Amino acid sequence: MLVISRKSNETLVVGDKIEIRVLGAKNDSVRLGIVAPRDVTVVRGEILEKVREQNLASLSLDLKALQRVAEKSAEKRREIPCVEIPGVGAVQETISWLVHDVRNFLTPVHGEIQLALLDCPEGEVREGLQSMHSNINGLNDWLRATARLGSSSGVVGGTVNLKEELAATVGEWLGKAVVTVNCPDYLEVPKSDPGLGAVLTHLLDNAEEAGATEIKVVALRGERGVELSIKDNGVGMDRASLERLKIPMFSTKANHRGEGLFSVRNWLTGFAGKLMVASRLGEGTEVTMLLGEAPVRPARKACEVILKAPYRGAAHNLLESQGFRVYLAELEGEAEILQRRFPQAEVLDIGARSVDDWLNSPGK
Amino acid sequence: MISAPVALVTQRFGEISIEPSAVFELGTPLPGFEKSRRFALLNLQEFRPFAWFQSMEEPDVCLPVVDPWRYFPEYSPNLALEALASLELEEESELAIYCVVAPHEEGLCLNLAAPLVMHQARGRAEQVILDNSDYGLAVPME
Repeated sequence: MLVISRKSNETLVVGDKIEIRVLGAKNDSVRLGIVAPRDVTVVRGEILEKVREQNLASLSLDLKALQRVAEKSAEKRREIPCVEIPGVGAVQETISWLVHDVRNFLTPVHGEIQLALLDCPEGEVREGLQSMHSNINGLNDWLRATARLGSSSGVVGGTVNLKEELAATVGEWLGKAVVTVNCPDYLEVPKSDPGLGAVLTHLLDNAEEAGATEIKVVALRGERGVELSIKDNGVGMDRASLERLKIPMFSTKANHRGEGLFSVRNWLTGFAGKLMVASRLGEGTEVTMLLGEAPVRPARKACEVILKAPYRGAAHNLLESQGFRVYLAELEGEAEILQRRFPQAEVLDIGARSVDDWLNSPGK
Repeated sequence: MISAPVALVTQRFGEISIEPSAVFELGTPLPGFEKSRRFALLNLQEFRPFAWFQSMEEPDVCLPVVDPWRYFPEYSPNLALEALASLELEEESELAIYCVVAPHEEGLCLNLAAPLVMHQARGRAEQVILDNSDYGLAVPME
């Protein structure tokens, strides 16, 4: 051991990158300032020693004690966190915010984003906003992923037999994981474009990407319509990743699940369906789709419409997603001005009637 | 890096097969196990939710680990970016975090002050010591 005596504010240099400065001494404690590169860990000796002790102690752990705690925790296991992905309206709200309001980048529109992110804890909203500001690429990735499954997916009329559809898809899927299918013989679901097979293939790929060796596909007729679940034994997702599934452009980069599931969510809107995801890190993921009843196809053909609405919102998104060209009249008297400019456009006052009602009524 | 499953002789489980995706390389060795540089994360059905961090170099070194949030839902380690430098990380979201389980009186305790931080895609891991944190080194689990 090298022994050197130093006065206050004198330094020691270790190697060519580490400098230790004596800041002062009081009673029997010495204050040191350390300048070291990022990759050099500086830690107090006694803490390192305790970590070492704990690490060594872990080797002598009694297996019985471990199993007892494991069993106990299985008994009082909390409900698996389950995230319901917000409707496409919320997603589009977020995107339209990004596209139209980029000029307001740092202005206080955060309230609107919080609405879009629904019930994310405050910290995650903040984190989400930061990433959103700095990472437009994430948005592009998501849009591409959506395009892959077909963002204009919809029910095309007619039905398919779910069991046959599942069997055909699983038969053609070239993954390595063992897939078992459990489905009643007679379960008809609305035909869609892209088909259920494309969506299922996507989910199987997801599961295998997560390291699954076994994938269970179960279909049943539940209270809320046909339920289709895909359960894998892959790496699963931690709580933070699961929470992030609510936010469209934030995929957990390691496995790209976020963006994939969002396109599935989009596809499901054709069925008025829902997507639920439950996952635990190290145990696997279960994706459940509720294939609701097929919605009535709108009677009104896409056209130009002047939307009388106090604020751009769900109605605007819904109309645009159905191919309508929307002129937004937010202010008093604006609708009349727009009508003069676009005489061919129809006027919809959402204060007076609902969008669904309007869509299902014949046009001009 | 290994590209195919390898057989590994362990003291606790005998000979087992290790998937390449389960192998983690340590930038800094675990305190106490300076000879081991590579570990495998073993997720064995019978011990779930516990997993094992098995040394690839020393058959008798096998640490029980667990997802800390299962027992401490409020746990939020502050992983300084400096501490993550050796994992070559850009963001925390790509990480898996496990804590080491050790005996404690009649039961078990978790080391919340020094979580094992793993980057699954890159196959790197690090035991990060949270200096000046409020988390204990041996927090009882029951």
